[in-house]
Amino acid sequence: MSGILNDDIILVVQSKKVLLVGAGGIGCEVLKSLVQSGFKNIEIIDLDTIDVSNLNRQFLFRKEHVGKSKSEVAKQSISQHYPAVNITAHHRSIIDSEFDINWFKKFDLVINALDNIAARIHVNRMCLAAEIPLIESGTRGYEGQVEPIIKGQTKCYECEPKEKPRTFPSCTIRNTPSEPIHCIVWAKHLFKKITYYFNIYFSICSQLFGEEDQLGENDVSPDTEDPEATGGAANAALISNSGDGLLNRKSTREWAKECNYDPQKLFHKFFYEDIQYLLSLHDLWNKRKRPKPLKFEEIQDISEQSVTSSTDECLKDQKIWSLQQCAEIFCESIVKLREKFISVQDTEKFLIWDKDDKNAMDFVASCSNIRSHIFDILRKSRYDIKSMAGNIIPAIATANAMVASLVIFQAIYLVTKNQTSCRTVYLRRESNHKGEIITPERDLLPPKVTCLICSSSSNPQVTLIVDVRKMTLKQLEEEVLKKSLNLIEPEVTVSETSTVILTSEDEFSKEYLDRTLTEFSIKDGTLIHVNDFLQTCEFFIRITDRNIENKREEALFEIVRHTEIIVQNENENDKEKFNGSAEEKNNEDEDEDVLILIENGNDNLISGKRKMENDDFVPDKKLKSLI
Amino acid sequence: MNSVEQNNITEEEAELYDRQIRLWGANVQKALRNLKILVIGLKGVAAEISKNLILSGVKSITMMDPEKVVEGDINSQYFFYPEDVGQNRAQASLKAAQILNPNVVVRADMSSPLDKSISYYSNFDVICVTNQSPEVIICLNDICKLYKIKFFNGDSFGMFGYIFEDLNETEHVNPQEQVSFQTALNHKWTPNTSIKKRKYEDPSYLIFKILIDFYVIHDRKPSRNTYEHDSLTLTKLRKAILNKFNVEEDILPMEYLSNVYGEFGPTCSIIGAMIAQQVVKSLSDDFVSPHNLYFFNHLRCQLTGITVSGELISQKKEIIINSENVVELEV
Repeated sequence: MSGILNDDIILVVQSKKVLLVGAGGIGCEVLKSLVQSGFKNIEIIDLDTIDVSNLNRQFLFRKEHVGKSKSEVAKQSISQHYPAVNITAHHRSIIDSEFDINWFKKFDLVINALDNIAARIHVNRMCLAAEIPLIESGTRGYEGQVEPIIKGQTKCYECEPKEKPRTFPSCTIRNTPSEPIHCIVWAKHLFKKITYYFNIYFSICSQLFGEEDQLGENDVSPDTEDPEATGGAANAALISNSGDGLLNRKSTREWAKECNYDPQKLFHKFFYEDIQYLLSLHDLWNKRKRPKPLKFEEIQDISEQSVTSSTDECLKDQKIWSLQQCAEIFCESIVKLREKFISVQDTEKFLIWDKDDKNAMDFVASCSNIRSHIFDILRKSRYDIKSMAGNIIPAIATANAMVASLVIFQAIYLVTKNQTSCRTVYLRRESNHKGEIITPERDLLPPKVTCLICSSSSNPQVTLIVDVRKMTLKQLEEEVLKKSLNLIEPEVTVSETSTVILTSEDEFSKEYLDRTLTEFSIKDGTLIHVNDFLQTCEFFIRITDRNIENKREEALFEIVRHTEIIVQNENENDKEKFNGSAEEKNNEDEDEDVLILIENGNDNLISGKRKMENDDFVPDKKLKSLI
Repeated sequence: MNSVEQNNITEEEAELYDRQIRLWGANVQKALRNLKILVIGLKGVAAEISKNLILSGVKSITMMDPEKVVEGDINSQYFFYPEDVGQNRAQASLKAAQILNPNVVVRADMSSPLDKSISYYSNFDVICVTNQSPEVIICLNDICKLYKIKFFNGDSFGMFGYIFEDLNETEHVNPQEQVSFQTALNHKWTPNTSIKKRKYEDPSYLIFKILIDFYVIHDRKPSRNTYEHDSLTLTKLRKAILNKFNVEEDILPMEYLSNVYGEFGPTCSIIGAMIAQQVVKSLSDDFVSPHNLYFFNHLRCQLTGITVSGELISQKKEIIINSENVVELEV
């Protein structure tokens, strides 16, 4: 790069090999700036394809590229301007065993330009294991941040707790919604269920019942085991509803066939029959407003008071539909989705819900609004429902461009071994009292000694609080190790006996998966060792047994990340102090290490009947500390 | 079609601009759609301003530059292709700029800003001036004052960069802060008096002054090609500026002046993005602009705004453009 950097720096920069993870908003900008700063060897990976809503900021993509691989089109577009640069594009997920430690080791620097926490955590672990410096980046609207991560010298991505996505108890979703979001989550699950019916109906060879578990997790029908719904009424209702198509798999199929996916029949089923059933669970409605079952034929007769409208009604989608409109759109979207399913059923088992698919979005918007009407909840516009159902994070070209440039500054500091200049840098929405819009930390943030992942301590540990008589090995693997602790291929050993109870080898532990932890002699105080071969990440889990009381909002398990001193009475103030402290006060000594972090809070409910409704896309909420 | 329908955002636009409408709202998007912009000086910063504003869906952008593309330009100006060397910069930017968003009218103008009549500038709502001499910046700023056009200026000097804005309106900004570029050059900057905080003093205003003075002396920016000569000038200017502002040497270490040569893509991106973002933000009803001069401090990765205010005195002032167009205006 003649003209700006001095010759020594140019030579260093040209010789370095960079991995760019993500070719989205920040990724496109980073790729351009890397090339403009003289980097010549770049690999870029992204599993995503281009969508119309990307085009307002992902400037390497155009309308004719919609549907194509982001990484490949990004490479093409950049190469037209800078043909001398050597770019390799991968249309793959970075969380793939193909990209192991040795693969990471061929790079001098890794840059994260991702949109989800799971992938960020994975790359963080891979880079720590491979000892490759990582630059982490993210934006949300006008805000953003860039964070250099160097093993042993800085905080890693997991040194600070990540905010978990909002989750809701299953019974709230299925039985007693009280907010628009409850109805929206329900509608998204209904979408899955509907496509599942299509599947049963149209598949000749139905091995699909193997998917029954998956279906069960997202069930939308009334939850008959709601602990609030005790007593004779519920039992009576259960008996009287034993023929209900939704309550057992065999008759689900029967019922699906019988009704032939007639939108009106589906309407009747979900908005009349199921609601009638809920009403029979008398105890649920002692303190709640009773829902009003709705018949399709009655909709025309419902005279609505003037439809509430939002203040900013510029867009068509910002108008709130009338009930009649909801019903029409419900029927229309089902017909369209059924057609779509038939056209793809040879290759796809399910339709995947996608906020950018018109019919899928129409379905969720109409369904959730009809349900909202039934439960007397405020209805929302399609525009707002899309935000909530799709977890849309606003994104603009300018913030991405600024953050990407800051990434490059950090990258140059890193590869030229000028690490003393590296800083975590924040982009703010408005300037602070000192007039700063882009604010660096004053120093590198040192690693947290208590971090489970980057700690130099020989036996990093977390505590798992759980009822060992209830949790199965499978739940330990899926819910605890994979979903909560983000492991990919975990192997579990009971330390005391050195017994391996779970490995990533396929056949080994399959038959044991349904056994509870007690059956592996795991009890209060047991220490288990967890090792992930892909991430080269290992730590211990200390089991703390507790009996789950059958309370409505009780979680199946809790994970407690250790700090040096564990304080039993965590309170909200401490938590806030912790979250808000990282940014600018880092020069002052803060005794953060007396805090306890409960990763899943109290609302992560996972058990046989208390399954959590969990949204699929996880926004990085770390940025909230900036506001 | 009646005018209301014409003004409403179409479904196609709502889809394309969805992620930004969710940030700044449909009203700002509507305002953007009517915005006519002139961008002057098609080097790295101007390309980034244009790129971001074209993506956001403005009505039109005119890119003006009489100069030709030289080899080094390509490394910091994304619109150019390797074969564009020797072509006019504005013309060469057209293709890559237009494909960013077919809904925006993108034009190239190969003339010099000084060749235009003053009234020409009244065709625009926003004028962004980059890569011009202080003299031209001051002149264009005055024209914008005359027509109440939003005026933005910014530039990169190697890794360092600055932004100046003069919104020329009364709605959102304190009139005292709507000073001209000339006033910004005469700002009475003082360092923080607390010794303890010295370490964190941002000397960017002094760097800015040194670089503007350099431009006045040599009629160009510092360049690596003339490094020996330019670094001498910069050293002398530093001394002079330190004297003038009566500050100690340690406020402005020499290190700051070692990376102010040529153009650096990432700095152009930051300056260009910040200007484009200010253009968009200035359209919203609740916009307040607390600052009118911003600096990117390249050693710290810090972008800081300061407020330059001037006395509100009415004075007759003469602007001369090409000695043909003379205008008198009240400031």
